[in-house]
Amino acid sequence: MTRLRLAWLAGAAVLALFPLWRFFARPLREQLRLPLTPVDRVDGARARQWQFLEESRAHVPPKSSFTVLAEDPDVEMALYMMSYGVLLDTLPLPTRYYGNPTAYSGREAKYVLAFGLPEAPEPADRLRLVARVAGGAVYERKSPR
Amino acid sequence: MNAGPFLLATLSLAILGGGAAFHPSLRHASLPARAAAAMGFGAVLLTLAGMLLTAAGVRWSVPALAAIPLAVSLAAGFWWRRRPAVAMPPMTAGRAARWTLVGAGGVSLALLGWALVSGSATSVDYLFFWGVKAARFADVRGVDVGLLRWPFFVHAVVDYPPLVPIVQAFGAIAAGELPWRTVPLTSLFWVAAAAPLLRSLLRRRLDGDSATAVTAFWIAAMSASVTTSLSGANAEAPLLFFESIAVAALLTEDAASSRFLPAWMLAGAVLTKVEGTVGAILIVLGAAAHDVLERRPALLRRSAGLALPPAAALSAWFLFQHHFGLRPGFRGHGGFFALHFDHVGTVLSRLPLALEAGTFGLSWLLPLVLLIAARPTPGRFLPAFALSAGLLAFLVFDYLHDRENPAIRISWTAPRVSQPALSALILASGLASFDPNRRRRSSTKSDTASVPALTAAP
Repeated sequence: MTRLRLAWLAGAAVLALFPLWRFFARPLREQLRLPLTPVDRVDGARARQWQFLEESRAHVPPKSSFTVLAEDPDVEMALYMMSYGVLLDTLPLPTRYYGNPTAYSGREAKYVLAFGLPEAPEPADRLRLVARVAGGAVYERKSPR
Repeated sequence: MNAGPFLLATLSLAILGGGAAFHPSLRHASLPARAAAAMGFGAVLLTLAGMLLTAAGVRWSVPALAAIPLAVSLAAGFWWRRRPAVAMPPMTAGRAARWTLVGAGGVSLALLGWALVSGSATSVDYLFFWGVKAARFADVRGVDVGLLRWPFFVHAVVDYPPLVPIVQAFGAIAAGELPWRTVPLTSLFWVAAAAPLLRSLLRRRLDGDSATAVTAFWIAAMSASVTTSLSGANAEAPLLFFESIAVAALLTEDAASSRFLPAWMLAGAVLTKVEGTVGAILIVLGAAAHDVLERRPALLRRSAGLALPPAAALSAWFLFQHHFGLRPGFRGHGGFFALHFDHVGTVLSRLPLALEAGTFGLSWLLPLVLLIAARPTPGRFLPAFALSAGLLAFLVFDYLHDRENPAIRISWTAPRVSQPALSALILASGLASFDPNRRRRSSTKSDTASVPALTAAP
């Protein structure tokens, strides 16, 4: 075998060691745990937000509109973007878009998905609590604008 | 359980594009290599079919989407079968090369697969827009034009070409819904499928051991890169497939070779990602420059044959956008020459760091050193050099458009977007370093002129 071919073959073998090393750098039990979301091991925060949306899905009827609220505008935007994939056959309406308040969209929504808010985002006479889910709550607006 | 039907539907791309396996330039390749080419061809045809059905107002279903690719594939396959096939050298390799391919390649692919399944190799872009588009397209049984027009959906880069969402939506329709945790595994299919086809193409110029060694290195390098750059479920793996096959086919062709394979792979590239169009332009220019340097006959006809399928595929997407009142074309990052030169230092210092490819840069360094040591005639490798250098230059140009400090965007996107450049470097270096002619370069003859032509099989 030529030295050149050996260099390529050895290179291939060495490169294969990097993912192997990364795999065994974590406990095997942790490595073999099946994930709940596609980003469990790379972005825990987004994974929790995704799960919040998945749990909220059962409480938002098909064909209805909803908005997502969170304290941090970046989190709210991320939830809004992901909600299109989780809550199919519904209409997501943003209250803020990239942090900028939208004129009416969010306020026209029938349902409110509140993530990580300590209390109801609007007065009790305007919102009805539908369900508490991991990470937040789902509300129904009594009279959306 | 909807993972099985989804994966089967994705694998069935090789059936939808099965006609490609009977093309004269591929008919004598190995079965996995032919299946890989068919998979790429099938993805292109399925994408065109998806757009056509939506434009015609026909709701998507598995039979409706599959009918057009199957019909085209069957007709093309029967037509190509009657033409004499081009001979391909037998794929043999010694024990060391074979075991390295099976060992290093197998371990790399297995760990890539596990990383994709376990949620370790997928970025949030999949949850923000790639998967979202696929799920919504499947739900409305067509390209959701209304959604693409909705002003509060611009975050989903609505101008991006539609191959990945359409291919994933096809699987979702077969499965009943998009299996979010399974979809990333399809990135493994693209990397794994490229390997046998690359090996077959490399074998046109190299002996079996050398072709196998370069393929093993390519698999290990790209698997590590796809994992650490979080390319799961997005457009990077198919783009890598399309551009790598196109480059390998062009690097190993001779003056009379058919350009069917690279041309259709470039069509796939432009339908996959905006960067695919940049890559296709660079590869076509590199191939044309090589033809000029080699004084090959039928320059215009061959260049047109390479450029026409990607140009037609891109035109189909732009026409689709225009037809539905979407703004045709791609959205840039500000004015074309609105560059922020105060970011030059940041870009030039951060970009090399972002090219570590999950191997502390070894994936780049070894091929680069071997390439420099081989001192190849640059002309023959122009399609690869154009893609590698051109793509990196394009990234610098793109990052200089950022008004804010581009450091975070570089660390986020460069590891992914640079992958075709790495792939092209590995292929060029592999071919150059094993080039049997390089030790007798005192001759004035060109490299390709001294390599036996790929003739039709008896």
